Amino acid sequence: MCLAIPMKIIEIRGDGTGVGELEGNHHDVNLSLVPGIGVGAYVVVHAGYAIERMNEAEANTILSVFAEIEEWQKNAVEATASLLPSPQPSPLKGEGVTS
Amino acid sequence: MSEQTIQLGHGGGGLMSRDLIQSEIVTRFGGGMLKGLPDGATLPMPAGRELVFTTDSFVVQPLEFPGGTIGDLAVHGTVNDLAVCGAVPRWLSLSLILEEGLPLSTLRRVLDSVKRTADDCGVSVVTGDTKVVARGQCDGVYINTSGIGEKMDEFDLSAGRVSPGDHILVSGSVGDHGMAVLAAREGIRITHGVVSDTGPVHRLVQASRPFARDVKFMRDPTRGGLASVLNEVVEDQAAGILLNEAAIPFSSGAKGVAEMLGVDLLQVASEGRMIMIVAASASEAVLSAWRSLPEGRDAARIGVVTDKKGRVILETLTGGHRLVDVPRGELLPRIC
Amino acid sequence: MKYIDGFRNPAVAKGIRATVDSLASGLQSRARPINIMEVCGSHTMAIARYGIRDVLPGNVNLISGPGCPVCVTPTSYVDVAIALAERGIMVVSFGDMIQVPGSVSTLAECRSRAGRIEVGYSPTRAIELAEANPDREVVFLAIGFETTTAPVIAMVDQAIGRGLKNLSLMTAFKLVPPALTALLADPEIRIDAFLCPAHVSAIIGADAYRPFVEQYKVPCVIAGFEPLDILYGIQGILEQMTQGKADVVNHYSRVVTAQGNLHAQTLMAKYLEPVDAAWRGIGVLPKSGLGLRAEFSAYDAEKKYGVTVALGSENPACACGEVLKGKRRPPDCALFGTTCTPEHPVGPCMVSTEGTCSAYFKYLR
Repeated sequence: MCLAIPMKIIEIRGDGTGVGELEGNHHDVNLSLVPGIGVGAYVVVHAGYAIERMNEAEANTILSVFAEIEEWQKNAVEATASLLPSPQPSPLKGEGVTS
Repeated sequence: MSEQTIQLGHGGGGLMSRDLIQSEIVTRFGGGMLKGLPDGATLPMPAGRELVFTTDSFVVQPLEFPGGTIGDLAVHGTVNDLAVCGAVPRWLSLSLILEEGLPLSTLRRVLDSVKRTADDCGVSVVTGDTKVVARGQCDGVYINTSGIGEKMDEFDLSAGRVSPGDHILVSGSVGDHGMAVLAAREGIRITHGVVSDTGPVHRLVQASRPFARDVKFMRDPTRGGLASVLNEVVEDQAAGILLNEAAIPFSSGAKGVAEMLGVDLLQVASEGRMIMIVAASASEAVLSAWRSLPEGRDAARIGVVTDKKGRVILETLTGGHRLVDVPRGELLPRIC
Repeated sequence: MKYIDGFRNPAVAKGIRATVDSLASGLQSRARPINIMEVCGSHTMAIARYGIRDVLPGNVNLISGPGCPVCVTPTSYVDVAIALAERGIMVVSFGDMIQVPGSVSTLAECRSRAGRIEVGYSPTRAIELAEANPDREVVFLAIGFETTTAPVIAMVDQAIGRGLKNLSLMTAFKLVPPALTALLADPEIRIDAFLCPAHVSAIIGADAYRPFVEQYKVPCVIAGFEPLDILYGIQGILEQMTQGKADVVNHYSRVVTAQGNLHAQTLMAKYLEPVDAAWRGIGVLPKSGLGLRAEFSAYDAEKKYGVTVALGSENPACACGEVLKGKRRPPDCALFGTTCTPEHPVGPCMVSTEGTCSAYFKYLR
């Protein structure tokens, strides 16, 4: 029961609230659960409250893991297409079939 | 000086009513058949042609939302219903129910929208009515428009004609209107986010006329969105539908609000879009014709008719499949 | 959408699926399929939304757990909320609760009969309404797991700070770790691993699962709600099973830290204490809920209005408890499809639009 969406904090008011932005939509966000948050930071917002910060470095790390998977997947598809008949490429990450 | 408002007397049929009609209705719609304010409009009956008649009521809150007003909806809604029946929209009636206390400036903006939109759509407001109810008995303004159009003979539309292999087309991004209204109600302020898609589709229908023989079915996805329309098509039919999620156009602004509030855009209303089910051989030509019009620039093929009786299935971004349900009831924000 | 679209990439999904297939085929020799419980209602919804079950290998099952606090709210809670509305009290609720049936009616139906029921996306709506209507009593339906409990308590903190006297809560807060413990305490349980909730974990921290994993030796992977998060989480579970490990692994480290949101935890502890709680379809689990401490009873609607949510008033034929534990399938329940349908659900597996029984019913239609 935890629908929460990453939003960027674009404004902080003095009363514990701020403004979060997602695709040009601005919504009031209550910041009382993330004291010390700054403008420009990302938070996850649940029911109008920022419940935690989003660590962008960690996000980018996992995204780069995914980028590697995508690259490997693309190579595996191309390799399979170019070799007829061929053994199936190893599905373990980082390995591909050399032609 | 305080803002002028609508009073019960404006609906009483006496001097106040007549002044309101003169200053707000006749000034905007008084040329043509409304001249002299007859009780009814006498319309020329086109020889050997059929007429299409439709009606719709509009109760949206708030009255003004990003991208339009209740006045725009009132014209587009009825024009579009006529258009997707294969008719050229011609004449509208305009019935207003006003709440005591409505600011006159709001009424003027709504009526300006009606006029501007009717002119843009090439339809005339030829008859109408105005009533006023006591404060609290309606939400500002309720509008009913009924419309008459001339049927284009080339179109023979019915869900029964749909058959496996046919393509499903949509004229643009879906769910923008519903999200714009929900955002406005939830206090989400838009700078360059979601905007209502309220708009006419009759020019898209007219652009499809050369291919009318291949067009099986048309509808505008209003309340209940794509999910509702497509489930209606396959109900009690031998056919089913398979949609490709990656091919369905969504605006980024609508997606943002939908994610925030936990809403499924397939169940959300558009007010300026149409879906068409067409024989595969004609679908590229129709898309090409649509994309040459501003209201069709994001048109896309989103799916195909299958033989999976009575089911609407979505192939998701991750390659899985799920049922697209008939929406249950109210569109409510969720946290779960 | 930043930090959202990148977690929905179809090409990456294909790649992760290939790895999952390979790991699953390495585990084929087991006596029965692998049962992974996805605990949180939001995981259940996301799995349904992206058709994830469809793309998993045949020997990997996803079982929906009791992680939807709306669905596990007892019928008598809804009955009491309706009774308060009928007394003229303004009831403020999340949208999710509006159609949930009590023993006779729903909040939506009560609203249609002039009960003042307000839907709020945020608990702040309760403060807005209480301030705008100083002569009305306002009750907020405070349901949720730890994720939602934190914002509701922040709202109460603010309401008390503003001296609001006409606002109170009907609490039905529930805790995830005791539910997991209760499930695994059954010796017949057939759950091999848990996909742990994203945002509950953001509040309580990844370390909160350690005692549980140490005692029961089941792999637990914390995963976000985007489809790649879920697939990658399943991959993590299968990797652990292949290696014979049982650890807490945090795949949602972009939000979840080891200790969680300490500020939120402190605020919750200030106002709330563990209490026994009734879970629709399961029964009463000791210390599985949170209630307001005695010194805040002025904000506890049950004390304020002298009403009680009865524990244990569910239909004894409801088999949700067994379904949730993976011991029974929906058609094995005597009520399935007859007394219990999506329009008239009895237990949480059918109350949730994507619960095990709901989904089964829908796909069978």
